[in-house]
Amino acid sequence: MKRLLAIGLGIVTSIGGFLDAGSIATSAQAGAAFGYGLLWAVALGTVCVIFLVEMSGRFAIVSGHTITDAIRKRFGFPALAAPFAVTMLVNLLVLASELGAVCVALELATGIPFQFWAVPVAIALWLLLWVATFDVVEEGTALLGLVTLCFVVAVFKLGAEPAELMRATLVPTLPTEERAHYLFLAVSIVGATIAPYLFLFYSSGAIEDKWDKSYLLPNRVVATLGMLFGAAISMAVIVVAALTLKPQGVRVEDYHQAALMLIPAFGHWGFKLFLASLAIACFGAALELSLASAYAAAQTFGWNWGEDLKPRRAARFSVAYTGFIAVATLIVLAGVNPMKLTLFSMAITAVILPLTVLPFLLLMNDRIYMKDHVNSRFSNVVVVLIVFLSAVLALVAIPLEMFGSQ
Amino acid sequence: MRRDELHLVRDVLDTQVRDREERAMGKVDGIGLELREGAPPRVAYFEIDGVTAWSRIGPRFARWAGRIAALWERAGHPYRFTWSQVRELDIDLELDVDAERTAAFDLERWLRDKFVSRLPGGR
Repeated sequence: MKRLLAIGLGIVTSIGGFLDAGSIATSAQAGAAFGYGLLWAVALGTVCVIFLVEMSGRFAIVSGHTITDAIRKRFGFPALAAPFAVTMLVNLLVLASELGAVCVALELATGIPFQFWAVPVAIALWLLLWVATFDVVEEGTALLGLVTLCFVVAVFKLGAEPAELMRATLVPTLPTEERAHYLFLAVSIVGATIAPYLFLFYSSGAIEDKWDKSYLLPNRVVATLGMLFGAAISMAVIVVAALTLKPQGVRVEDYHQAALMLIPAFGHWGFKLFLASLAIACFGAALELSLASAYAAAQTFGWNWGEDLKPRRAARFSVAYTGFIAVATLIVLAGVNPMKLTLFSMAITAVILPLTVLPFLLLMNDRIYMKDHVNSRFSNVVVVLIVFLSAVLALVAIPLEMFGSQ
Repeated sequence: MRRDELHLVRDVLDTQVRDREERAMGKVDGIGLELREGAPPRVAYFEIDGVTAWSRIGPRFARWAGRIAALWERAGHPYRFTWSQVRELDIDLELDVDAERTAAFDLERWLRDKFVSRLPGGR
């Protein structure tokens, strides 16, 4: 019964927590510019993230270590330092993206420019982490996050053609124009789908909730179904944008244009639903990111960590997320276009994936840690192929996008 | 784990250290050997110290870390312990000490006094 509850809750958490600034921004742009053309990129990223999330849960269950802990112990501090520094830097950009997106949602709702919202939103975020417990943070935001299911409802209301969707999901195509931008969006989508903070967060949660071997099966079910359903919402954003924004030739340069996509399905409620989805999904992601980054710091240096600990009992951990939120807030205050920042951060995420995934994969095949639960050759090959392909493509796509061939 | 087969680098270095109340103190950042005349070297101490950890990457990193750590370090740095203080070595290494009374908690204490306790809810 307890396991069943854990499965149900895990799936709801994954669905409600799947969308974030990265997936909303990349999906909205992709749908508006290329129709269904990039659905396959979500599918590709999802296959990889299912494997990675399942592995990170299995690793925590079998070895009793979080991933960061084990990377340091197995490969030493010098080997962890570079991936750690890069991950923190990218997490910071992504956190700024999430905060920025929440602020834009508030700007669209009130008319007050988004920079003015940065400090109040950051304080709300910090206060929740400071006073609430892990379960409240995780389950509360996930439940509210179910509002993002409105994109799936919209797909049905707009009457998308299932056969066409299926084909675009399974068969990648290359457009005749704007190939550089297409490639850039493809890697950004993969980066948004395989967010490393997601599986670092998941493994820390498994340790904090003291999962034992009876959770091996629930872990597998949650990873697979949760990510699949979550990805369905991400795909729904592409489909809705393809059906509503593309025919009118709307180019999504920032969230203002993206916010119009639900209106044909829901009328004036569509606008409000989009804002609610954006604000809640990104706020939830910001919570997870702040925690995941503080976890990473604490596990790298061996500090007391845990969302259930009072700040007094884990001062280094609490100050870590406090500082992290403060710096991200400064980035938002600087007034960078939140959507541009998001797309850029997602593409960079794709570049750095091998740095975190490779040492993790080595651990997943190490019998000292995993005993009889090491990876199958199949899952190794799938993850290595997708991660390295995305990194190489991202290295090509980023300069093309920045210096423009269009 | 068979204790007669302990590998210093594989099993001890970079392991999480906890005190007797399971509070995370830090990682085993370094291991010191004592060289003896006419006898094999002997493990003298283990240390928890950010500067030691950074010095494993390079002297410049160690200098930077040292300058920053000077903000909160009190006497007794770096924190060193011997094998006789180890209660258990499994996933983590557990010491028979009170973390609050050690130099390993200097940063924790400093942040608690300077920041956490001055913020609402941080008492």
